Amino acid sequence: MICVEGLSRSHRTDDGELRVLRGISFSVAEGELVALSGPSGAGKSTLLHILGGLDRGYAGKVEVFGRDLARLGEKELGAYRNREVGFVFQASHLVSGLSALENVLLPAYFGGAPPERTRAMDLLARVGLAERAAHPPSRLSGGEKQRVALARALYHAPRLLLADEPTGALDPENARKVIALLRDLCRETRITAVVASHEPEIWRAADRHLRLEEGVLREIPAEGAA
Amino acid sequence: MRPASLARLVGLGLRRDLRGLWLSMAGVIAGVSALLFFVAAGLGTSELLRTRILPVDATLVEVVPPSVSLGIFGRVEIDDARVEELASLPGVRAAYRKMRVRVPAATRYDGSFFGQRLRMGVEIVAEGVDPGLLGEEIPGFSEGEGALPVVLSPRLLEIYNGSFARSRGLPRLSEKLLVGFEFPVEFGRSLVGSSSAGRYPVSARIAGFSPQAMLEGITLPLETARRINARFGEDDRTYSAVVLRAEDPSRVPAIVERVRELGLEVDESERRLVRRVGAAIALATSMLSLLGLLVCALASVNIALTLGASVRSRAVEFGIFRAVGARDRDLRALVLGEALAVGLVGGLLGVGLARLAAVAADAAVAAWLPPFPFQPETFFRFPLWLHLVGVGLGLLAALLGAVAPVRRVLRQDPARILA
Repeated sequence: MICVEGLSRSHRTDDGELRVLRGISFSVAEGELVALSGPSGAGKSTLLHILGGLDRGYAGKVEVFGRDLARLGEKELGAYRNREVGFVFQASHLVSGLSALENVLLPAYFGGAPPERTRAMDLLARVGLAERAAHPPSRLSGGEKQRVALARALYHAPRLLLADEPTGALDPENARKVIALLRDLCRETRITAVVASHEPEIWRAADRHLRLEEGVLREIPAEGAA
Repeated sequence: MRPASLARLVGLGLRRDLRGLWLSMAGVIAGVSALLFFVAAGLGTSELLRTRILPVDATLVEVVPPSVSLGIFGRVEIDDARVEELASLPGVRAAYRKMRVRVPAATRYDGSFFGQRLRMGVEIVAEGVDPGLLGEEIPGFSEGEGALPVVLSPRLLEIYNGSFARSRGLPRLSEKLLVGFEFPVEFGRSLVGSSSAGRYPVSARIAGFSPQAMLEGITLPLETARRINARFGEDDRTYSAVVLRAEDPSRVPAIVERVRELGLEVDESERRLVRRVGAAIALATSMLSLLGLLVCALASVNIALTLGASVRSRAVEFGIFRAVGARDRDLRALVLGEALAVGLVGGLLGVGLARLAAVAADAAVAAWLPPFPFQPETFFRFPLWLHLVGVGLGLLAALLGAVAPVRRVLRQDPARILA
């Protein structure tokens, strides 16, 4: 369960202070797939980073699964990002020099338990890349990289999946594949997911659609999405 | 973070910038090897000075009569009563008497010398000592019939072998070869004149070698020196010096103080020389070692720059690590791990290079310089602690160099980087 109340976030720029989020409030029920849309610079990435514990310079209250993120210490926040949140970015952000399998295992490197290669292989198989496990990112296509990033995000079976324009850098064919995979995985695992996207397909697949414009959030009924 | 995971990611980070890695390591290698080379040279040279050129037994105190007379109180002499008094001082284990032969002496040699023809004449100084001073017992070193037993300093043999023999085309000799060798000595005669009391020609036989024997002459049994002095009507009652052996070196300062209270002096000329030369070596070593330290400091700056640049170029990677759960301590461990790997390998290679340079320097001296007295097999000494200092210095340089890059990584804002 996500509960956000009066969330504001500003960035300092050369032209002064830029208010990205202006006291937004919303909640997401456990297991919901929420689509987040809005023009570039509307604050979608900022909102996802705050929910994922990467950005703490905000005002307001952000509670995820009953925990106020502002009250978490550095150690707890690290464990939160490691075990409870899975991130997928627009650029897949795989670590070059590591194989696809090792990229999926990356969260294990920062957790306490030894890496489970079998689980990582299962995830790669689930995203259709088992035979590419040993390949470095440089030998994967854009769509394949994003699928590896999705497998990495799911390695610790997180309760919250945050995806920031996961298809933004893909061609339509690969974008469709990633969207279908994302939708299916969310349904299979009943994971809570917030996906920032311009793709109407994502909006249609989502349980809810939120739109962020000029730092203000509003809910869009399913029929009105466009 | 588990060690295996840390090692994997540290290795990955190091491979990202191989040129920078080698540059950083080269600085550490240069600094550590320079420092170790100079320190080892200083240690080796000091040891050579202490053990072979100017060996000083720290438990021995040489007491001599004062060089300045006290006027109405008369001259302070060292006679048997004074020797007993000195021997009974607290902390003194034994007292050994020395008596100079107080007439001139010369040797003239004209004959075969180990297969070579030798013709030479030289004035010599002779001194009698209590045999106990010479350490282990030297067979035949006592007053008796036949040739006079004499003991020579091994340093004299070193000077002969390293300088005299070479310049005169004479064979190099060993102690073993010389024991039993006889040569003529004429007491009461010098190369410029004779004693009015006549001459006393004898044959001297080398009985052995001892570091406690006098360097610039021959050492005889004390009773022999006393007999020769008596034969020429010279003073055979007082001693030219007494050597006190302290129970341990820590007792020496108190003994020296008591000796001075008795109006006697302590001959510290050799000890002073050792101190002076030792200080000169220490100063030269320190100056050169400073160069090594300076190179290490530059290596540290170099690591800071290259690691800093590497960390800057990998900002996204560190952002990803944050996103998948890395904490401050994980990122700190990663950057420090990379730096310490450079320091450790650089330190080890630096130690190896210093040892190689030492071997090369010794080989160059042996190949290009003519033999000289006290020439050692090596001018360097590499005790275990010096190796550890070398590796430790490499690690320290790396650690200091990593401070700024670590701070940079911890200051990075993952949200901004990954957006």
